[in-house]
Amino acid sequence: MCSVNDAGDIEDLNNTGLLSNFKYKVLAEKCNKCKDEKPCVILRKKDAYCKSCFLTSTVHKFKALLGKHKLIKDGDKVLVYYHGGHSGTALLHFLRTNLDLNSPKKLRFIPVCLFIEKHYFLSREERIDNLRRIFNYMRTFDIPIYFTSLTDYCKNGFSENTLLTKNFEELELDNKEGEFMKDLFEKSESLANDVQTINIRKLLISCAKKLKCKFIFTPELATDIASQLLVNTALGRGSHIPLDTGFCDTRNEHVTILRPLRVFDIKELALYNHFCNLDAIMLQTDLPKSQKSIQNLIENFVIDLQTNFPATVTTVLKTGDKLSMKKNKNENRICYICQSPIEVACQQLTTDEAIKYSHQISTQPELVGGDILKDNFGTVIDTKTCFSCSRIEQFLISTSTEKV
Amino acid sequence: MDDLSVTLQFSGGAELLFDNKKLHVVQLKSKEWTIADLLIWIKENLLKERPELFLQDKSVRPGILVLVNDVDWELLNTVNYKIQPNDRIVFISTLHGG
Repeated sequence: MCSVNDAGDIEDLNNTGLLSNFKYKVLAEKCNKCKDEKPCVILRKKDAYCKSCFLTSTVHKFKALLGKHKLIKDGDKVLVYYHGGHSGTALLHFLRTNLDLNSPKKLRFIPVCLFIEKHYFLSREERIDNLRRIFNYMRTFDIPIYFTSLTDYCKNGFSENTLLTKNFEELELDNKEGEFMKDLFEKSESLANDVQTINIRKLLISCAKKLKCKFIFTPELATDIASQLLVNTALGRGSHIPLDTGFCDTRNEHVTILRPLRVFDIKELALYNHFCNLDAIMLQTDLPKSQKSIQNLIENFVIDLQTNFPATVTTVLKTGDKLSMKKNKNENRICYICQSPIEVACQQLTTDEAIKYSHQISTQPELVGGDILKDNFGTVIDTKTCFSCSRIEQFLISTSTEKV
Repeated sequence: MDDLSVTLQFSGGAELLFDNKKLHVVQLKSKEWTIADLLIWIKENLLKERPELFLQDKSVRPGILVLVNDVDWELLNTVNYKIQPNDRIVFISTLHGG
């Protein structure tokens, strides 16, 4: 028997996915690791750990991922993108405790935090309150924090005058600046989300350059990475998957973006914070997650699937890790919007070309035939954007012309 | 049989649904209580707004973690766990982000 629930999904009434319905054949008696203590955490619905083994393995996982890549040298400055939540707090705590170690395993780089103000949909008072809470919170970790505004960047670009300040009170929080973003989101949420992701990435890189940081840590979790991977596929950014979801993003020659939390799920970090007596800052995200954008739909899909099938995220992630970018001989051709390499025409037709071809033959009926096809795609070489960004370009142009 | 005294703690944004108060010490009438019963009691007595953000079906909403005396409730048979006197039950929301 089936019914449609509130979210619009069809569900089987005989299998409502209640946690209590799961039959635990054997409840773990001992910790999986030390085989001694009583377990207090169960991860991935099967691995039980005691408190101390859980905390040790969580920290180890973080350091192992950083250590494996050996990218950061002693004394390098690292920009840590903080946006609140359990993940942000856990990341700060990992850094603080490992910088303070007295053993040879201590971390030796210099972290600097950045908070990007983008809550234009909240009232001025709420925004100032958020900033003040973050400012005070950072003192407990003793890591310097800078503030900058996304709306300012989207409107004016990054220049010498862009505000990047330690004093949050200097930020201009005029609700009018958000109008531009609101317009974008009203027109197409999927494209607006994509534009926002690209803008945040560019803003992070610009700030890192200004603060002389060689690396950026972003706090995406495994679920975010898995959703991003599927989003990329859906938006025609399949060829950028290694850059957008891998451990490091090397698109910029001066600044490398690293994703040190990509192996964690939210449960691990929320429990880590709980056991370390850390209280995370939860910022009001007043925008209800709508069903209108590809990004939100995919995220819900991944989270729902993960609830009942705990291997979902790892499977997507591991599959994604096997994808690599085609060696591009002509590496000078970079999309001016997202800075990814633009695909070069090759022997086999790509989906991009197939779409253009069907567009052409359906709009200009006289152009039919393989030869014309080849000729027309000779012009592709001149494009300045990748396939996905060409759509963003049209979208941005149409939004700005409408305003005029 | 005495009343059952239990400490309830809400964090990670879950406290927003409970008047922004993180700690609640409550006395439950003497009888056998499971977490399923407690959730109904919370809904009727403590929950201030939007119960759908906390409860779903007869359990908590996926994304809310529950710990009983710092032990994951998935190790304790979830909603069927029988509450003991002076238990500390923590609800951590992972739904509120940054």
